[in-house]
Amino acid sequence: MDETRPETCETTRPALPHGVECGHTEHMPLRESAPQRSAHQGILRGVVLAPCIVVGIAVLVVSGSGEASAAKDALSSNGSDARGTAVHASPDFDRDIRPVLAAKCFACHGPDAESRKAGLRLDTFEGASAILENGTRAITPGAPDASELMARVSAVDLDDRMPPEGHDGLTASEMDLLRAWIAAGAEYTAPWAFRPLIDAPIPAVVDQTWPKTDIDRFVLATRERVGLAAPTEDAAPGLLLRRASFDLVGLPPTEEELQAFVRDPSDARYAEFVDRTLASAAFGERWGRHWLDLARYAETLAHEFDYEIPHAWRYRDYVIEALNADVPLGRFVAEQIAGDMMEPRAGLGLPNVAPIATLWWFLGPATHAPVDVRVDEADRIAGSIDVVGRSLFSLSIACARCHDHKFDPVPATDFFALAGVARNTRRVEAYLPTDAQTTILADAARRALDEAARVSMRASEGADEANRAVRAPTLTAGVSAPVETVTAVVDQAIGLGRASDGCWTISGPAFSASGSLLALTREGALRPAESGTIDSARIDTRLIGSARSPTFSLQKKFVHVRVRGGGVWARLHINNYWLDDRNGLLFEGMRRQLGELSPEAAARDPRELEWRVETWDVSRFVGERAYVEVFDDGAGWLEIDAIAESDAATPPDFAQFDADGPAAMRDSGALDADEVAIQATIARDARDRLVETQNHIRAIIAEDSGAFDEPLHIRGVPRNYGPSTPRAQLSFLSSMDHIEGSGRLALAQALVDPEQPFLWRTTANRVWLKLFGRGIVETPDDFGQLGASPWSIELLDHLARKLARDGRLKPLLREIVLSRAYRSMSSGEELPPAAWAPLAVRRLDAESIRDAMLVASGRLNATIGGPSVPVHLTEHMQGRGRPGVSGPIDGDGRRSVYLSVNRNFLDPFLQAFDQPPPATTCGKRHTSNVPAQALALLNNDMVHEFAQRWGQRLAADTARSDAERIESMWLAAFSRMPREDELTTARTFLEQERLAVADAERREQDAFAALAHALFSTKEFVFLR
Amino acid sequence: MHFFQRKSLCSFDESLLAYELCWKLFDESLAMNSAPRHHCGRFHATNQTRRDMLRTLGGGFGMLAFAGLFARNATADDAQRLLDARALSAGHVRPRARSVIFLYMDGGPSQVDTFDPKPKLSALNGKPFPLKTAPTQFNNNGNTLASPWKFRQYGESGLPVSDLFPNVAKMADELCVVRSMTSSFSEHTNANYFLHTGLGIPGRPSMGAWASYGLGNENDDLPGFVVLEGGLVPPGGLDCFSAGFLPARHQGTVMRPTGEAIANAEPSDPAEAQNRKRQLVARLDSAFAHEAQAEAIESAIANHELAYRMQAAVPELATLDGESEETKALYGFDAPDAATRVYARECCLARRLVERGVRFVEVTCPRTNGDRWDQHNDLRAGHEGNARAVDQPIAALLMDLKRRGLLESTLVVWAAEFGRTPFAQGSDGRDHNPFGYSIWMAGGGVKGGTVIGATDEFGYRAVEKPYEIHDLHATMLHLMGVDHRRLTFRSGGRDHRLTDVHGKLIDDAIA
Repeated sequence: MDETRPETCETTRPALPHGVECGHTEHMPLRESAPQRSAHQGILRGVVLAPCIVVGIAVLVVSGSGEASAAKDALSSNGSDARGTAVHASPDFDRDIRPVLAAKCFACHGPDAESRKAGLRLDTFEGASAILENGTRAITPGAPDASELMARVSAVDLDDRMPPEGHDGLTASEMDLLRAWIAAGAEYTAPWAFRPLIDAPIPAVVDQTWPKTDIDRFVLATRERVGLAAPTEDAAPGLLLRRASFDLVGLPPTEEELQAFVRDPSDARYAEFVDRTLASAAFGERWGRHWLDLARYAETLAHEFDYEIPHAWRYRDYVIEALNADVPLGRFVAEQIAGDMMEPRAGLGLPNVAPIATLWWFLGPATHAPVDVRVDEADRIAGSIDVVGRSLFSLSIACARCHDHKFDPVPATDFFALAGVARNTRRVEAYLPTDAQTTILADAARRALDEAARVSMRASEGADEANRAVRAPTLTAGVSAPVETVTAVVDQAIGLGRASDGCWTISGPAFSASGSLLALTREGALRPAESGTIDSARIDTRLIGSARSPTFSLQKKFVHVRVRGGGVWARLHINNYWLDDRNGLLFEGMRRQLGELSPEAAARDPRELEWRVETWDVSRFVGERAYVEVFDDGAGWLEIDAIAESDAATPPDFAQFDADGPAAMRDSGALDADEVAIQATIARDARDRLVETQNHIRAIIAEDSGAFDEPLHIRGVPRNYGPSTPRAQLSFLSSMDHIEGSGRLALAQALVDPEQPFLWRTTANRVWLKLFGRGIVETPDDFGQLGASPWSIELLDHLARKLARDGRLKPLLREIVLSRAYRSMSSGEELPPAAWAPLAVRRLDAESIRDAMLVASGRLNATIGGPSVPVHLTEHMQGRGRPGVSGPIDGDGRRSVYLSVNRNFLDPFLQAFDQPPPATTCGKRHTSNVPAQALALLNNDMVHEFAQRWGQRLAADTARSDAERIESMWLAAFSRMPREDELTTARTFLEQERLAVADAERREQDAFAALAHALFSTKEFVFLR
Repeated sequence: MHFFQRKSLCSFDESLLAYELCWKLFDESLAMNSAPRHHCGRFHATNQTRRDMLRTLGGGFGMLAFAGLFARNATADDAQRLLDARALSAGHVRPRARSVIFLYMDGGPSQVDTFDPKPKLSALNGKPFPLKTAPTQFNNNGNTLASPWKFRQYGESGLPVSDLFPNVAKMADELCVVRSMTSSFSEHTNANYFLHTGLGIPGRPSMGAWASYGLGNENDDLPGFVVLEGGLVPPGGLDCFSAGFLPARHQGTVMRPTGEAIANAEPSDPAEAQNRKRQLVARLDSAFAHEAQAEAIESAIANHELAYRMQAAVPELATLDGESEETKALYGFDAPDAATRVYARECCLARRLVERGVRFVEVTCPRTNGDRWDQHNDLRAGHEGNARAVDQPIAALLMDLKRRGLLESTLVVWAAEFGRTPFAQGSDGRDHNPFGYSIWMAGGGVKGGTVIGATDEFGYRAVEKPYEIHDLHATMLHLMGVDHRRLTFRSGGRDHRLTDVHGKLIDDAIA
């Protein structure tokens, strides 16, 4: 994938002059970088770099070419629905046999090695046909009578019969199927979801008149196969427009759109409407929310105090903008996983928006003060893996935490391959530069380049380009050359500090990027940089930023960090725990302010200050993983040059460490004074701009912190370690030969490979589900054995292949929405099990209902993005962490996607209409039907507020007659004109209301508000046909 | 109110029969007549969706939500079918309780100061705690701390209760105290999610939601799972009452003992205005339903009508004026302590809810002057305040249920997320202790006047018949007539249970 750029700690920057192995192993010099090198040097001691051992692999035998078998399957595809009822000439393993074996045999003879009985496994051909301890074979291909399996499932003697007593045996028809399948050779095929995408031809259909598009032919073929005709009727223009509008943007069509389309309901007009709608910003607000359901998006952490997830709304904005920009799916998903490591992509006014996506890893709930922080981390990671599995693979990978998956070929090693990825990924509050900053800095860079050219011309008359190129490295070894100087400044402002000294990572401009030899004195003179330290005063003490050490394993009771400077925050993170920034209980002292700088000290040149040692007592956490983080918010500065461990509270002797010593200052003899002066000017200018433009935005992002493989946790119990599991390597993705750091990038690349079916299938199905209310696979988050099978794998893969080709959602949506299938009249047709049916009547989802009220009442505030509107609190919403301020009752008129999502204080109106609690991936919302919904529409203050607003607007519109105003209400609420009888009814109602209002001032408004309020309660308002 | 009167058409026993009938239908609809096997789910041979089931079972209302309807119309014919059902399927178990009142003791009362006397603590008071201890929430562990309260034996059973609960003690013969409960978490929220949902993280269905999902509700006009919110929402927030992946209708409905009882249930329009709107809506809806011909719309219309009825039912329920003076005094409506008065109303409301057929009622604690039962310091004052708030109302609730004949069909559970350490936190507090603590049950199907299990001689760890939260859940479901292994909901590729892969019955508690 060329948009991603693997990057390691080892960069092309100049080698650092010292920091070779220090005398005693307690020292963890910062100078070293790559984990593979440092392992033997003691930085990352305690990490088991064991050879990769994979246990419990479940490899399914895929017979023949995937396409051939899938096509065969497709020919008779009626999925699992007709199991047991239909008679099949030759049983298909995946359709007919696996479900039976899964239900009745796999618990003891399946993929899970640990619970396997009698050494027999029936989920692979090898296992099933192997010679058993008693000399028999469970399955002898072609010979049911020589197959022990047949004998056992049909045994009369209860002692011999399988499954054993207390469990349901096989039915007669199941035994028949099994027998026929063995007789036919007992061919094992992979479960459908694990097979490659098929490329089914556009099917031939009998009815040539109905289909308009390829999709129509696919869906019609499913109907004709089961003897059903094409739908007889298309949706009326008004209904169609309403349907498409809500489906694409979650809002009703405008009056103008309706009237224009009803006048000319041509295909061309419809296509224009669809294109316009897809291009509107509201599209991202609608489809972005679908993704937020998958990402368990929330802005707080639940648990006791429901602490906020800072800047979470930026993730929401990122999603909305990405959907609007139609960022290719592969890129979008890869950004969730590893956006911090990919080539920059501009967005949201930032030169690189991709890192914001990685908050995705940390959107789960979290608790402060866990008594066992390792267990806590493991639980948080399991939550993330559940989201990875369900949302990207439609597989319940999280089930493999305690044992190999019982039904799907997902061994426990897959879970821990992902756990390894997550454990080597840390949550960072980053500073991201904006476009404006970058422009200013780029200007500086340009000027510097010009200046450099001038200097160069003068300094070496006649020297050619090649000479200059050769000269540059020489310069960097001394004082930075102008070009390097300024690009380093820009890099520093833009980059995320992936690469830095000794694998430290930085964010923000304060801490100098590794190898950048730019350094300035307080007066702004150029000076040689000291390399090998982490220093926030290298350019200017006013700069902001943070830096983090590599993750290491705590071996001793105390950690010592040698520092100079002060006025910054430092923190020792244990097992990636971070909530001590909100509540220090149990982690007291782990996060601390490192000494205020006295005015005298602040006035001195940073380099004149003495080194001192900061000590952390980690005796409770020996054996856990940790890293050091320092935060310089601009007020102070800090330089770190070593970390050491000891069992005694007193700091170890750093003398030997010092003997290796900081680099001797180099002089800059190679350059003439003139040149140095010019460079200093440029650097100073760059610095001043940097200081001026420190208005970075902040975001929580992911960052690699190490490169460990996580051992398997036996029975899922943390610290009950089994063999090491190669991180990121999933058994059902193609194997990766290049895993760096956490492995996130490799994982992302493997997942978005066009040859891998998972992401394309799951997304194609989700798109279909959102447009038709019923997925091609009805269990969108589970394509495994316990989920449903597709009613048309041909159609699913047809759509999935389109996605795999260009990854863009909008063309796919367009094609579906323009299909005749989508445009068919809704029906109450009983859903055929293995065929497509026209849309059913659907209730609008929670957001659409509220948003439709906003539009109808004229209250919609169409502002896009920004911090969330605080949730409006009612007296029924109590508990710790209750926000101090209640949001406005009308949510400031903003669309529902912009209301804050406080896990412990979810919006009750949206909840009543099934907005899912943000616990884990939710690909298919419930559409429940509860009195709380009707009660909310009847009595909720917000609904009254919108009705009043609408009433006020109508009352003020005195130029129009009652009838005209009622017509406008009908158009707004139902996307149609009132019928004659409805008009009469509504007018009568208005008259009654007018009589009931005593206050003449309010009479008109209240009367129209009453009508508006009643319309909100109608079923037509909340249902789509 | 006519819709309440309907309830009286059937006796408890009849409704039990009806439950089982419903289970039978439930099983049939799910093809679930297989024995329980593995938590990852039994394979369902049919690929039925919930929607299919809803259709099968009741015009969109679905599942067993109409258990009550069956109950009200139980006939001999149904009884015969029930017998057939029994013969055909191993089925669930005989229900003993039809409602649950869960008295949640927020924060964790100390077992050694309430129901688990430990004289040894007095002997070693102020001396170093002799047992090896595990990390605690605050890690500020002090010396052995004796209970400041005396224990006495009560009733025919001689059940020991401390002086913190002089009133509850009068009902000692109804209580079944489990002294060997354990939890997996030392921290409030994990422990609370665990206690409420069987898993220590947010997002799972609460036990009340499971009960509502599994058994439906006997009252069409009230929710099946009601949380009486006395002022303290458990740490973990409303997530503790979540429907999780179950349909939203099973979510705990928060009800307050004062003010607007249930959100949006109080009519916001004068009756006449609401009627005019109602007529208009009915007219428009009926035309729309006729045109759209969709069951979903019919169901929504039915629900709308139900909402109107709820507007009447909720105030009728929440108005305690009709209670006799004697009853009010019994609960403590006029108690000197404000927190007691709040909790008295909660307990009285709890009775009224189960009287009306609500399946599961959780009662949360009122705010006292101090903290919840979370006495990290000043154990004496804090526990006294919390006990004062709940002692009289709980005793009254048990008595009132009993004299109305409701106790035999109502399971009352008194429990917290964990207990407290027998050693001090600092000098006069106690830290969280999940390793052994006391809960009690009373009422439907419970063996009263019994003590089950034991902690060590200091009351620190459960040593005899240790039980875990899953076991409590399994037992509660069992008493409601549900085999915990068979109440499942498929979500994300797994058949989930309240008890996950765990749960054994607390046999000795079952009468």
